[in-house]
Amino acid sequence: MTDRAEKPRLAVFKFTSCSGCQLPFLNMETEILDLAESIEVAYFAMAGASQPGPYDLAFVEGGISCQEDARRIRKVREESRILVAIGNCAVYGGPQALRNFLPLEELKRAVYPQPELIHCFPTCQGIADYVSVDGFLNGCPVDHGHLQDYIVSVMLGKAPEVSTRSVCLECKMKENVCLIVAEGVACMGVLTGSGCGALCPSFDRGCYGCFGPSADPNLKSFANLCRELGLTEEEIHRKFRYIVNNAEAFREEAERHVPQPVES
Amino acid sequence: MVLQGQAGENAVVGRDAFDEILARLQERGYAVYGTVNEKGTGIFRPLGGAGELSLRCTGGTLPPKYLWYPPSETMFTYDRQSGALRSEIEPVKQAVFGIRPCDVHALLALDEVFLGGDYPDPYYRARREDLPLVVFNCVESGDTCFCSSMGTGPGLDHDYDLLITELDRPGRFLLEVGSGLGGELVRDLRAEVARDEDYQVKHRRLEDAAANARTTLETEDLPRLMSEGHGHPYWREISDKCFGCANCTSVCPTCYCADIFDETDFSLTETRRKRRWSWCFLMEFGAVHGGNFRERRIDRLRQFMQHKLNFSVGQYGRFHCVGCGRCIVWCPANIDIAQTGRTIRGDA
Repeated sequence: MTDRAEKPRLAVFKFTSCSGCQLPFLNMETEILDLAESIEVAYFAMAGASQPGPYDLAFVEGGISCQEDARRIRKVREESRILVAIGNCAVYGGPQALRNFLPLEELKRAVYPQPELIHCFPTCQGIADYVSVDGFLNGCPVDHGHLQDYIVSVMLGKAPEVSTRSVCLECKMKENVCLIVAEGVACMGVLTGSGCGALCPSFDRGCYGCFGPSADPNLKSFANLCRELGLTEEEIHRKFRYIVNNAEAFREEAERHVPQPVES
Repeated sequence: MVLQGQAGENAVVGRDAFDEILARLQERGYAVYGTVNEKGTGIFRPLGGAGELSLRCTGGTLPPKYLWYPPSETMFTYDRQSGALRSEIEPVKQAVFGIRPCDVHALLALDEVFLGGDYPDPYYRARREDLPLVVFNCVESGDTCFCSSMGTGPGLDHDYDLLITELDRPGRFLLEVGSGLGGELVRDLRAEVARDEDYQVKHRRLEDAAANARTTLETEDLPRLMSEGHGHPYWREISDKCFGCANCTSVCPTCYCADIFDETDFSLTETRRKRRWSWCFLMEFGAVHGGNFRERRIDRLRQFMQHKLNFSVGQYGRFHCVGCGRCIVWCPANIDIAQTGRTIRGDA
């Protein structure tokens, strides 16, 4: 049964990221009171908790970008029974993984006045490149419903529901008119996992693919659609080098549409 | 003349009669839904007044199916402390004003699925038992309509409470009463007597709508031909284009599959067992212990179309494709079930 002598200990960690995937925890508002009854929030810097491990359930936001990140994620892994990557950065490396495709030293010089102070890896990767991970919740940011379901499932000792449905189905349930069909917009919803509630298409903007590839994305057909809609190879390339750029399917599709080299 | 309000009665009415019918449905406690023009298409919405109704059928996005089979619903709740189960199945009073013949046929197909056999579905029944239908016959075919091929339109001659056909002058409608409730909705309404010419106009308009259908599919021997064509190269051609997004199945008025899951809040005091629409097109649909029995997109696409144009006939004795054309309209890859049927049977 669910009654335990001790409440399960929850931890939320941040690595290289914007902190946006921690906000859904704080935005739970009414539910968070029930949550505090059922579990102990042991580590969550943004909420002021910083007790030492071990932890029963750890959510990790952010990618692994430098030696310090790599050291710390290994420690978190050791201290956590269940370790879950939340959001684009922890799952795939995040928007900052765009640097993986460019020469690091040039980038440092372009951005920082004292580039020699920057000590980071040439790439930013999802945490699964460094430690074993028990679960992945995609999104940019992660969806609070997915988080809630994951926490409750762990407390009940059952497998969480992780939907692999496309964004299209969220559009249909909202009775949005399809942007591809009606407006000729190269909307990535057909390739992208659900969870955002079709946020952008609901405001007539094509999906940007924040939740990463859906279960079986047909990238070749999408590239053909883009061409039919008049996109150049460079524009197709940029669609996959965007928010989720380091998911294998998107990364490889971007490589198939090589832009012309930029003259310096 | 004044309508007596009897089943089988017919008359010619103006559009003002719609207001009266709608008002009487609302007085009787029904939430009345109809297609309104919105976002460039027709969408089923709760109707305030009959003036909002769109008379031109555009198919819309979701079919009205969600009224009798909601996208997500709670089946029962379970109190985790006491172990008590609670299921509150209340009769739902809804009505559709302006449902089209294809969607009525889809409803009849779902009736067989949910209410036929030894275990009628109580959730569906609670929404179905008191569901007045004011049907609009279709006097023109949309680009992707092929109801005349599937035998589900453009006219209907059964299972309506009221049936309305637009005649040759704008604002003149032939009204046919199909049930006692339909009669109550029009009793004492002033109307013109329907003459032979009016019936002739109705039949001519329906025949024209069928003859002018721009999408067709020959259904003679179709299930056998679809079975023989299971390995046809056209399946590969369309599955190479298919996004696997499941838009087609999500707008289908006859898709009935559901996924059943539990939802528990953080307090862990109560669990809700819910069901929500699911479709054979989803990768997760075929995920079972040890693997996935329909992992390839070609198999999922073929399952969807074979079920509509072939397997449903063996299961239920009717096609579970009613020719509404929504899956054709909303496919972002331009895949067309009627074209597929024609190609597989060798008519394309």
